[in-house]
Amino acid sequence: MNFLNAMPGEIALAGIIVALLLLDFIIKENKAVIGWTFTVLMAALMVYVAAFKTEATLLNGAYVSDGLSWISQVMILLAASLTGLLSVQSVKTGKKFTGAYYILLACSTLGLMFLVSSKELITLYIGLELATVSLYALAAIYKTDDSSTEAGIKYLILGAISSAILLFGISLIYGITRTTYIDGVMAYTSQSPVGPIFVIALIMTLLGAGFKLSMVPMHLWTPDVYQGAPTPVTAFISVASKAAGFIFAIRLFSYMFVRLDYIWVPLLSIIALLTMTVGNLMAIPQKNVKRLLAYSTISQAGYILVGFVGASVIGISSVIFYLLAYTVTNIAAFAVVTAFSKATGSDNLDDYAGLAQKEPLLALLFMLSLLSLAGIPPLAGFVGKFYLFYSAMQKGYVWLVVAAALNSTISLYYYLLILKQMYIFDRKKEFPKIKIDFSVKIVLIFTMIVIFIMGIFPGPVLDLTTDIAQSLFFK
Amino acid sequence: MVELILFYAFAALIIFSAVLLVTARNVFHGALYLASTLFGVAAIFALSGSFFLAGIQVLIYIGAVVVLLIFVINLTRQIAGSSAAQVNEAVVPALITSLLTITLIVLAVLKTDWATRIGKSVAQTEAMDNTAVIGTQLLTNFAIPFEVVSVLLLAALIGAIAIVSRDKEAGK
Repeated sequence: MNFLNAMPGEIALAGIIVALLLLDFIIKENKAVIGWTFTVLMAALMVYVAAFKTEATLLNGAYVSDGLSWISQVMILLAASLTGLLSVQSVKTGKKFTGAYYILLACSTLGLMFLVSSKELITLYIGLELATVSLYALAAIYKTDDSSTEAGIKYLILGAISSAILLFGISLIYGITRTTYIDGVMAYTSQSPVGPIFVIALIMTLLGAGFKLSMVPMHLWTPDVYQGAPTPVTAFISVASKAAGFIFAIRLFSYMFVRLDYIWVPLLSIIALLTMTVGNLMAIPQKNVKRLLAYSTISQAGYILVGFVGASVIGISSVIFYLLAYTVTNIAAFAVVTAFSKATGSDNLDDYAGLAQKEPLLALLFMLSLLSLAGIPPLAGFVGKFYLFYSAMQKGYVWLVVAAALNSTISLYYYLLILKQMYIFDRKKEFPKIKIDFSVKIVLIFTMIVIFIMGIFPGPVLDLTTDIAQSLFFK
Repeated sequence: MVELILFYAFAALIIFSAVLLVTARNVFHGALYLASTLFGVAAIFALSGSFFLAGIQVLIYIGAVVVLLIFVINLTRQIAGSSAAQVNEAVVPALITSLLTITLIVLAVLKTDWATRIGKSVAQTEAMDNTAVIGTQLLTNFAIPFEVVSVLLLAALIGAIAIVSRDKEAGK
């Protein structure tokens, strides 16, 4: 099988990284060109990958391009280009490091693209590391800002520990099954009984993957990193890196360990409950918008885990659908935060008071994205959540669905707190007029269109995700 | 028999120096204990017939990583001589958690029948040259991770430079 035909996206992206390196070398003054180049190339690559879907298996099944990898690569490239748009006019890294910023972003995107297409544990791990190592540096790119440095260090240390746990789990799996191929491990689990050591290996891989998903108990890094990292990087971590983490989890649990679901489904249902509840309860007292959104993404991860508990095909389909909805919604929310903090230099929730009087449009967009996160019809988040909970109902997890619905109500409370600040309270401080940059405007318009389309006409997207989920099991 | 004794001796060396590594009050001593831990790992690799891995472990980890670490410690002011406490108030819960995890893993390992599993794979690979097998695997079945690792190193390099190097413009 020809590599160029099987993985055009990855090879093109590797070329883009080299091109960005050269561009950074050539362009001395107007560094914004690099950001625009990155954004445009990512968008172009996304269109290419979306339009020319490939079906291929490389290296005896170690690497595949299937429906799942196709849709997640489109999602990751979309997130990368939107992050590029958010960064171009608001990230201030200084001329010297602008190039490094976009190159690292491209490297992280490449790692995530490898991660979603691998079906072999070592390839998966390397893809994961490439994505995360670039993000460690990106989180700490504001060197003079203490909270950014703190974010980088916390992310690095906790990330290293969780990779060690994941690697230990993978090596135990290799020791038991003598293969690192996902299909091989799956065949092993369907033929032989598994011992307690295999259960430990499974839990270790779950915890290692859980770091990316900010799943309780691996969520502790989330608030500090989200708060300290530059806002566009936070958006990228919360969207692309998390989506790839969920695809990783689909490959591991819904596929590789599918025969062992009697072990991980009960475990994951409890973790899902804890993740939602901890995220939501911790979000309520937060005073910093980025921190609040961090806890909100933890609880979102909890809802998505409900889909894993659900019946296999419909569960995976609902997870992919929700990831799409969540990607655009969260990017929209962070776009508003980026615009606000660029103009006012603040992320404080109290400073959002009275935003609706002065910036009715910005406040309206923030309201729409928050309501979509909370799952209010007719926005994308509602359909996504409905479908996730429906899949868990199919498997008879009524208690989990009830708990998830209660949690959605709790989350509505703190989303409404933000709305109350914006719409009911008066301004306390005077800020300069907020000018929404051209690039951020594109992001906001695009995400709002997608949120409404996915909320009002979810049918075609649902058909697509169901097809993908089915092709995973029935060839 | 000799192999078994050597295995346990090196395993004891690894555990002993690893414990000292995390408890050492002086960073410099910690780096030396790290070298001895990594040497023990290399010896275990050699005992199990992976001479290539053993050589790489010594060359890269002890020869490059630890030496680099010692250079960094010596070049950084104040940390070479200072001694810092390695325990904080969370030491008791941490110990309990680690002990429970160890017990769980050890119990599970003891319950698993490793002899037949490992016997099979040793019989398979003993006929071939270990180093040749690694080389072939890296360039055939594991070609993709092998190539991606180089991008990973590039990203790590760029990231490290971006974080560490001083920005002259920002100072002005």
